[in-house]
Amino acid sequence: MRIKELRINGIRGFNYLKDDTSGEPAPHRILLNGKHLFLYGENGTGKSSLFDAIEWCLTGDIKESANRKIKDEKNFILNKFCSDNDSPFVQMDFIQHSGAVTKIKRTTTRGNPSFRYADEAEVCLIESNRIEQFVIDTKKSLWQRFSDLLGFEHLILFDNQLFRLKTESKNKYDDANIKLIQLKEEFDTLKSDINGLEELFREELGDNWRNNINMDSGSNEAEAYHKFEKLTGNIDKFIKNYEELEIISNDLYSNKELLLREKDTSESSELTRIVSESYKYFSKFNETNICPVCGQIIKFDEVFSRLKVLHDYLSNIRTLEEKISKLSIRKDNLEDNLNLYSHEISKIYAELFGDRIDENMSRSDMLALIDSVKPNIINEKEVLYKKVSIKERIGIYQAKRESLLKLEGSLKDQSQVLELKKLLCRDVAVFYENYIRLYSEKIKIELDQICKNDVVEIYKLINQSDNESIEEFIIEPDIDEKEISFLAKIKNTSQTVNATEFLSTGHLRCLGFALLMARINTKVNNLNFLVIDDPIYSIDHEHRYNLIQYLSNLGERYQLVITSSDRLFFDILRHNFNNNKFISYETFASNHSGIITLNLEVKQNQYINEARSYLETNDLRAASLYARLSLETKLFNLAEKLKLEIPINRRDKTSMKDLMDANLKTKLLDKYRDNVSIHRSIDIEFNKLYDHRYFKTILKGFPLDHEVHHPYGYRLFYSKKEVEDVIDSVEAFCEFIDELPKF
Amino acid sequence: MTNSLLRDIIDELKCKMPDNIFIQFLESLENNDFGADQNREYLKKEYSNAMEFYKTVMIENEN
Repeated sequence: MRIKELRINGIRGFNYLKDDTSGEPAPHRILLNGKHLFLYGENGTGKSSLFDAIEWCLTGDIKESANRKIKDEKNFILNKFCSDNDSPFVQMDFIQHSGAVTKIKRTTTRGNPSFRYADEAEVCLIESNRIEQFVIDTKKSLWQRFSDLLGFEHLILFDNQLFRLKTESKNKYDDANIKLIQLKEEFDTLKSDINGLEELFREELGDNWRNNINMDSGSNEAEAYHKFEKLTGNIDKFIKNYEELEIISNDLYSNKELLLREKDTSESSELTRIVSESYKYFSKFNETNICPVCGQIIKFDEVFSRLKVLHDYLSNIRTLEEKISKLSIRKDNLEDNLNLYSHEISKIYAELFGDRIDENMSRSDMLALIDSVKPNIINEKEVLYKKVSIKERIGIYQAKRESLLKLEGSLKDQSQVLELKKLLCRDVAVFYENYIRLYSEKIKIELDQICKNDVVEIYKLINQSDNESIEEFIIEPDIDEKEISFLAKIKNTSQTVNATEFLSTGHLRCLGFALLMARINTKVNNLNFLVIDDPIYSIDHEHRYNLIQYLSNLGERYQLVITSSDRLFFDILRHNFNNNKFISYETFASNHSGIITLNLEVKQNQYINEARSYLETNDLRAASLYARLSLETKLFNLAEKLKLEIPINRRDKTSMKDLMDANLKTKLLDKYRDNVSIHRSIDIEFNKLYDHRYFKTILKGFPLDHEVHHPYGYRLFYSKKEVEDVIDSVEAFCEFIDELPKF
Repeated sequence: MTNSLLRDIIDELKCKMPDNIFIQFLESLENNDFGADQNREYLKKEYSNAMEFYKTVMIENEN
């Protein structure tokens, strides 16, 4: 199955085109009819857009969007200049082996049909980025690097996500289990509390305690109990105040007696005033010995000591009076309190027992009465307390019963949730275990198949070298450890080495490409096209020409769609294929409307100009190659004009040697056989080429890849002067051919 | 689009473990990609989705 035609409208770099008159979609069309497609363009002109469009059409996916971690893939696919009314799409028409034409069209709306060979298509799409990641992403394990290269990333991603889900489901199950245990403990505690209360009720109220509880009377008993508490409180306070009053009364009496006695022995207030003033006066002069009035010696000590006695005596009286005053106030307070308590006691007692106590009776009588009724009051209160206390506990009991019922429901729900979580946890764990085993086995089988399929041969073709020392690659996956042992067997020895350490970066790139090619041989049965995005992106200069040779051979089996941003590679690639076998385009960026595709036309002298340009930058190899391309182009044009017959059914591209072998020169001479001068000039110009060291080899069929690279033993080296001479010679030859009269 | 290897593995496991409800859940996921999509967040979304799926299956089984 080969690609017949591509139609792209409004996808990635391809702007949305409409017919100016009808307004109908007029997509970009690339008609291939099974031929190869070579696309050249500088960076940012939309080469990868073509790759993305094909990938999306065939697989419904664009890996680049995943690489860039773009969440909204649809926006990534759509051309930025599309309007909401546009209907972007990619359509691919295919030619079957039978000649029948099939097509697949993918739009941005849902419900697209899936491509029958989507899995094969994934393998046929070769992104150089994959190879580069394989080479440089040394932080990843080899298991991961091989998986990413060979398209097992889904398996690894699935593995990672599954592992996380497994861990999460285990954690959730454990949490639910702990929660259930806590609920059970809570349930057991509550149950135990309820049993304890029931036992208590049974003890206090008998076996029929449930019937003995009259919850309705609860409020009256509580009220009565409250009154009893108030009554006993008042009684206690009465007794306490009464006792204190007794003490204070006695105290007051004795202090008053004392005061009277003190007052009997002295005069009262006047004396007090005089003594106090004198005492103050003499206190100021207690150091003075002579009277300031009469000048007589004062017998101070005697006077002052007598005054001091008087002063102390009067202070005592004052203290006693103050004390008596305080005691009197307290006595009054206590009497007020006792009146209050008597009133309260009388009132509450009447409420509780119906008998009214005379609150005006003497306090001692009241106390005696209290003493007589108190035991009964306390007894009644205790009975009531028991009843009220049981009611309270019954309230608690009922609340606990309700909680128990709710908890029972929660336990049931939690048990069901736990069962589900357990089931999910078990299913995921069993699935994961089996998945890992199968996934590892599949990778091993895939790697084995790929390795058996010409990896070494392809590697050697791209990496042609006399010094090639690798005989075989051994790639052994370790399923348990998820690691890959990647060894290289050294030629003519039994020695193996670690391939990643042994191979250079360039060699690893060649190997990466070889692995992808070998995978195609393993996996692709129905598709006969390969889409390779910038193949030399990951292949260094030394191996590009080998790669071109390899691609030339590959082109015999597969239709190739190749993009490149390297003009030299592109030009040499095109010249390695017969003109009627491929179509080529160059992409240009447009400021506002996405990319435009144009047919590539080789302009007069373009290759010679390129050769001179490379010569100026001292890139002698590129300069000589462009000189060769220029000569090739001229000779093929000439052969076309001469209608030169070249044997067909050839596998290889027709070379300059083929043209010479088909007597190009003789045919040309024949055209001018009547013009001796031109005849002679042709002979001279062709001989100049044959005599030239450079042209002598290529005209004799020296292959392109050998010329520039390999084998080293036969490699031709030229000085800048020689290359300049080659360019001049080609230019002169081309001018000579152009100036020949028409035949 | 899912790698055919993953699809093969899940098909194989489905035959081997027909009673595993988790496989049924995987097959019920949108786009039939079994969640092998790096934009999908198993940890945050799929666990609760899986639990819902299990509840539904259990209720159906009881009925």
